[in-house]
Amino acid sequence: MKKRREKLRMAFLVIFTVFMGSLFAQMNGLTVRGVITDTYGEALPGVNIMEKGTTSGTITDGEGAFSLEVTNSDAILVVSFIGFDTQEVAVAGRSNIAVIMQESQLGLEEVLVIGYGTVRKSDLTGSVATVKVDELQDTPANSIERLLQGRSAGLQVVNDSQDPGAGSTIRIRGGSSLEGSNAPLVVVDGFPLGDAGDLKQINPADIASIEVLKDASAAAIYGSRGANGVIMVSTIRAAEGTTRVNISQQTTLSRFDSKLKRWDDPLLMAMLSNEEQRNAGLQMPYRGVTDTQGTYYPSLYEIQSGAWPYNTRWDKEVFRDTPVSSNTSVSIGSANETTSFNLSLNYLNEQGVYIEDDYQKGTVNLAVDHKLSDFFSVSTSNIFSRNERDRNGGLAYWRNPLWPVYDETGNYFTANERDFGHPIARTNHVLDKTNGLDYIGSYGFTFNLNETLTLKSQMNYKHGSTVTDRFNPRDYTEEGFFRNGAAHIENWQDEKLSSETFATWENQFAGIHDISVMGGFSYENHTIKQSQLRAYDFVNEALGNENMSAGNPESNVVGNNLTKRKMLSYYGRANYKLLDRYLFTGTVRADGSSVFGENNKWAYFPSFAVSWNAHHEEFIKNLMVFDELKFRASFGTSGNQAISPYQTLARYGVENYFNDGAWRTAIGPGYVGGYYGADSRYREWRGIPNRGLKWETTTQFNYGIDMAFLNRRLRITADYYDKETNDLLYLRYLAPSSSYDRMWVNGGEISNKGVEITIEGDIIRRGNWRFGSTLIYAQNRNEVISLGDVETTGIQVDNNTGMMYRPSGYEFTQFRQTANILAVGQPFNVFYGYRTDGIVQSLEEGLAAGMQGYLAEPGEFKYVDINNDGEITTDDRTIIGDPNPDFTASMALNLSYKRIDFSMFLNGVFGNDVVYQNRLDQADVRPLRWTQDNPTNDYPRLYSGRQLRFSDWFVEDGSFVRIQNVSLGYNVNVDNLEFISNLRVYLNATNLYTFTKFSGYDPEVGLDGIYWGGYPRFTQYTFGLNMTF
Amino acid sequence: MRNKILISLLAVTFTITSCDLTEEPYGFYSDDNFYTTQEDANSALLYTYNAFTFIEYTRGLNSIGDLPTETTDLKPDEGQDAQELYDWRAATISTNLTLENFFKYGYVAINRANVLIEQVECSAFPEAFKNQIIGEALVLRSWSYFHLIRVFGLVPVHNAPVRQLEDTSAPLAPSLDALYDLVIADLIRAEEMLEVNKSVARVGRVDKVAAQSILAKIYLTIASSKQNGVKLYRDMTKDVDAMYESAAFWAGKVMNDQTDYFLDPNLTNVYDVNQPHGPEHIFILSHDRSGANEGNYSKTPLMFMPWVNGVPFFLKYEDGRLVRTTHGWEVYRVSPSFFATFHEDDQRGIDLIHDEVYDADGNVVGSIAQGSFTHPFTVKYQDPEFEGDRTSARPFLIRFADIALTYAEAVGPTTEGYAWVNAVRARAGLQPLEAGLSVADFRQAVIQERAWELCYEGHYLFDLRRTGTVTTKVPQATGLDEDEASFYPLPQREQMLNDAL
Repeated sequence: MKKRREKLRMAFLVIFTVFMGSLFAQMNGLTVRGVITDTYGEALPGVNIMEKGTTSGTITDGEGAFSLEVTNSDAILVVSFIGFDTQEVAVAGRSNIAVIMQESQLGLEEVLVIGYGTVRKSDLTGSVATVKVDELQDTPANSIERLLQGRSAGLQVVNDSQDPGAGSTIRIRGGSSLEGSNAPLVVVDGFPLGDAGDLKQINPADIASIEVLKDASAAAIYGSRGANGVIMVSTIRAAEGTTRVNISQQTTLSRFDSKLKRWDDPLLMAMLSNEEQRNAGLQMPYRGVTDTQGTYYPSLYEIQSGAWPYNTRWDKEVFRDTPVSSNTSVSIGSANETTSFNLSLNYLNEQGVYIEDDYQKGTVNLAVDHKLSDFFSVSTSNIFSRNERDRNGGLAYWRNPLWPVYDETGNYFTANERDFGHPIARTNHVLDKTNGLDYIGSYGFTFNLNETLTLKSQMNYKHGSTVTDRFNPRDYTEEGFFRNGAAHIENWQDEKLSSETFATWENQFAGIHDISVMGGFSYENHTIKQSQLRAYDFVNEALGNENMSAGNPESNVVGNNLTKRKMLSYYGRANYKLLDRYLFTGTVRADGSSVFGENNKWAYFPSFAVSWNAHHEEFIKNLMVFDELKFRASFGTSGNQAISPYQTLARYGVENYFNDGAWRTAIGPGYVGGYYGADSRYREWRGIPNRGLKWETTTQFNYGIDMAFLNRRLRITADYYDKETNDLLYLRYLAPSSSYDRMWVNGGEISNKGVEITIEGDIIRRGNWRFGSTLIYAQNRNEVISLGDVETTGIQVDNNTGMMYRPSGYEFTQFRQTANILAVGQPFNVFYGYRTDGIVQSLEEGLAAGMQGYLAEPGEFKYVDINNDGEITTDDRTIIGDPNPDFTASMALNLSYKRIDFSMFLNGVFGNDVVYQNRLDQADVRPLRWTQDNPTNDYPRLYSGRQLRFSDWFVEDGSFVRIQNVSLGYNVNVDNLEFISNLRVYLNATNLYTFTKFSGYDPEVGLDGIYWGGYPRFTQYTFGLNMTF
Repeated sequence: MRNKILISLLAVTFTITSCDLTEEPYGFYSDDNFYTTQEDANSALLYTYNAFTFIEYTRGLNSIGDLPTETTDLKPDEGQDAQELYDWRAATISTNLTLENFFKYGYVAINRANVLIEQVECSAFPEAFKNQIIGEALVLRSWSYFHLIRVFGLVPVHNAPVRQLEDTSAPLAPSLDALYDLVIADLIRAEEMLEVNKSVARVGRVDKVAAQSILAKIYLTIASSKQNGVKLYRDMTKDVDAMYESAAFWAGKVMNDQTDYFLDPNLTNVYDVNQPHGPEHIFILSHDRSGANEGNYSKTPLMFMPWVNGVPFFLKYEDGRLVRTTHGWEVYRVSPSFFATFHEDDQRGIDLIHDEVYDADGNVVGSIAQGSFTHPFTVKYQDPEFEGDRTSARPFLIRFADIALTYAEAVGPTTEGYAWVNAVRARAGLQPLEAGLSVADFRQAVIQERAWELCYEGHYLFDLRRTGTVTTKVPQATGLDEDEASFYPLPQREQMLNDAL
């Protein structure tokens, strides 16, 4: 009772004081005017001026002038501006105040987000890179990763798909797993979400900062998920004392950056097709007859004379002229002393280049932080996102131009009964659509026990689900044709629940010892649930997949499965700083996981780092060269949970056996874990448990140096790392008499070594001019050290060199081999095949070179007989290329003058090879073929059904430099508009030009270096508008 | 106050975090949630049968049993595995995938049977049920071993379930005697446990007669192989005559002691896809065209039928019937020289091997004469109700005729011996065998009869091997040494990965 009365009295006092205060302010109101300039005397527009302890403030106009009403003559002004140190200026009775702003000592006071805490950049011991997110915001993207390309040293981003809503492939310091994921862990606001590459749930505009944890000291705190590095994403929180409404709109137009490879001249196409068949001794197709499949091929005369009048521009039929995408965001953020919230909405609409190939996404993000008392605060963030993908990609723009779109009766023209490639028929009749729903929520509290000890706990929940609807009709699709209509519904649901609780204790002793200790634990439960329904054999297809019970019930197929991972972890970190000069960090994490074998349930990951802030030493200071000179060294281990669930349990299979007139369920030991052989016709039996199965372990050394010169206007960071991953998981083979084919075991070793250099310069800072540049250089050397036990891995041996290898990746039917191999002593996925030495010009030459049969005839590839045994066999293969770049480099240029800003970003990949696997079939290659009259050494003759060998003829230099991004912006003068505080319009172009020798559309392909064709890369133009109220 | 909040918050957090890291199976059966009921045991028995339905096994039946013999020619551009078998390429045969698969699936069935037998033996199921399940499992295990021995000779013995890495390597049987003794003991035990049980419902299952049949085949294999001095067999301690007697004993039980199985009087009925329950079929696999995956249904007819125009066509039988069939890939072809050995009245040459195809109206749409294809083809495997390339055509594993000829060969030129071989001949429209043959000539005649009767059913190579005639009869095998001709080597992968070898 007494307490309550006290509270009431307190509340009254507070209200009274505030009321009286404002009254007093009204009475003693004073207007302060002034001009704010930089050290060069140039006026600074847009500078924030606030009266301390109040919510009143203003910003300077174009001439750097301001005027602000203050409560009294002793008021204190807080003057702040990006890139400058914040100043507090006492009014001290003056009514006219001139303030000179000092440029900030860039970077050092920056606070970086690391695992379970933050750290001042100057106190950093590990290798952590920051990405300047605000430089990325002019380019629209479904997920932030697409924009990170070239923005951080050692972070490799490959955007090989341009489909609407497509994700990216991300690597930090190379790949370190053969069978498991090589994608970094992405952590959003302390919530470890999973693999980076498709963070579509979070609107890039809601992201405040991104940190990349690269070395063991930084990443080991994430233990068995840290081996591929960690990307820390922090979302926007409103700053105290502000209210902001922001609206941004981006409209993007896409164009192909190069010409399509297609047949302009169908007569030439037909002639070459005839030539190809004739050379192989086969009947020529284009001779005005219907072939055995029922396809009528007009004769060359019919084509030439116009009797066969069709020349269809399939590209015009299947592509949109200019796909238009738009991206709209609205956000409201506000914060006072106790509560801050940020609400943002985003709607993204991406049009694919194919007609009716679309992606849409809406996102709502609400974050609230509230201080309940001095010692207790709560926070929550809730992201809700919904997307819809209408797939209509891969339409055949390469379809035979001699075939019309419609026949005389107005029906789709199909070449024969089994012509399933009609793009318009597919567009109109095939259903292929996915609806996705995502939610990411976190709920946490912070408890300040006393000045030094803080407890934080956070509960996280992620939900992702998709429903895919597909229908393949009887006509126009292969599946529908054979199954008399085929309907599918696929459900996928991914749920992750995790909790993180940790305490941080920070203290300083005797003014020279800074100690902070963090310790905590976490729990995670991750479930993926899938189900599939399939129905076939429809009497009437009008409903598509809307009523699957309308199919023939006897042919229904259902399937479902679930995988679950549980993980319990304990972790801790200690930092010790002596005299602001010597820094020590130690971390340790213990992970227990349900997927580990029962004999290896717990994994331990320690790390240690030291660094030396040499610029605080007198003898360095005396050199008067360095503003910063810091040496870092770290060492530690982290892991990769590359194991799928249930590999440590015996597993039975379910099959069917026809008995007593019906299909009976048959169950027993061993299940089909995969397929192999030509057309994947043979089953691979698994199900024998490995109770000792464990994580892959990466041990990493990192040595770094940070330097700053010239008043910190030139900053250099360089790192060298040496990473070794062992206990790599692989599927070993078992003796066939065991009745099992393969089981997961640990073995194998990979190393990655590399150098990363980042140079940042503020080249011009004079008057209204600002010019800065960032150069990033990264090189990674990757080597497969061991593929595991030689006998059990199915390793093959190169007979010429003794090199042990294993085929990897896709097996090309035309080559009857994979292009990539994993070879001991070589980088990941090198290309393995034959060397060519031009084209055979005479039969004698062909025979002499070791070719046989028609492959020795003029116009064929002249392969090199590497082992000099007089014939060309599989033993003449060797390494013919490497998809890994020698190095990557990027350059960002930022220029601004007054209200205009300009930026340009170049990104380059150097020294990698690309396999142009279908090069022989291209419309721009076929006419260049070898003939009697054109005895070229560059192209073979056309020959139908040739047994091709995978050779260096298909390997090209994939180096490129891309003008990735150019942006021009203008900040409109809104001084006279009370309600708008900022208005920016801009024009942004991505992929303005690509410098490359590659002869396909674009050399930016997947990490295995295989180019699949597809369509040219887009050049995209974005018109953007950004308004703040 | 502050501490109370803190403690309650921590309590909540710990509760959420409490967790057990043991992994529980979800969505799949495992050691601890199966074999608990009779239905489970039945299902596991069907899983054992199922091992034989995969193409890894069924392709091997013809690719090993027929392709390497003079009865069969091969499509010239068929894959390497088939070429190696057809050409008897001894140098690379240890890496042959067809052989490796056939080897492996033999053991897949053996392991499935082993787990089943172990689980059911220690169960509390009724005795009759246990006998039924274990009996069938023993027959399947024996069938697998018998096939493995015939193809590979001495093989590793797995008589306990493979449950962990340490169990995956098993040593070779010490001798052929030991190996056969094991198989024979299993079969005798199974024969006692099982009843004669033939019905439509049991198509694709084995019974007492199957156990007897396999015993007869095993004894005959030992007897003839040893008599002919075949490698490994010649070192066996068993007596040739005793072995012939045992073969006659068990085959005699099939001939005389039961009435459910007999020679189907109508030859073409034997190959009627809709009569898998016919009296002839002692052990036939189970496929059905309604299956979802190959293995559930069979593509076997496509391996034999000609391509012609890549569209279905009709076959015309002697009685004028036109039967629709799928076209095929003409992989296994009837060798013209073997075709020429059929007597001109032999229905097996006339009605079961064709060289013309027809349309629905009975017009010839393809023939050797027209150049539509190059070789005659067998129509033993065909399904008029095929759906696309899905058929119900089933491999014939043990037919009554096989056991009848086994019996005849075992008893020699006795009255019964002549009676059974002549019964088979009569059904094919042939005159009785010449009377008064010597034992050796009679047995040779029976083996020749087997070639005509059982060709393309996966038997003939083993007849060649047990008579030591591979190198003399098969042109491609000329010049092979005894080792290469008698057995295929263990697959290289087995040699490398089985630490117990």
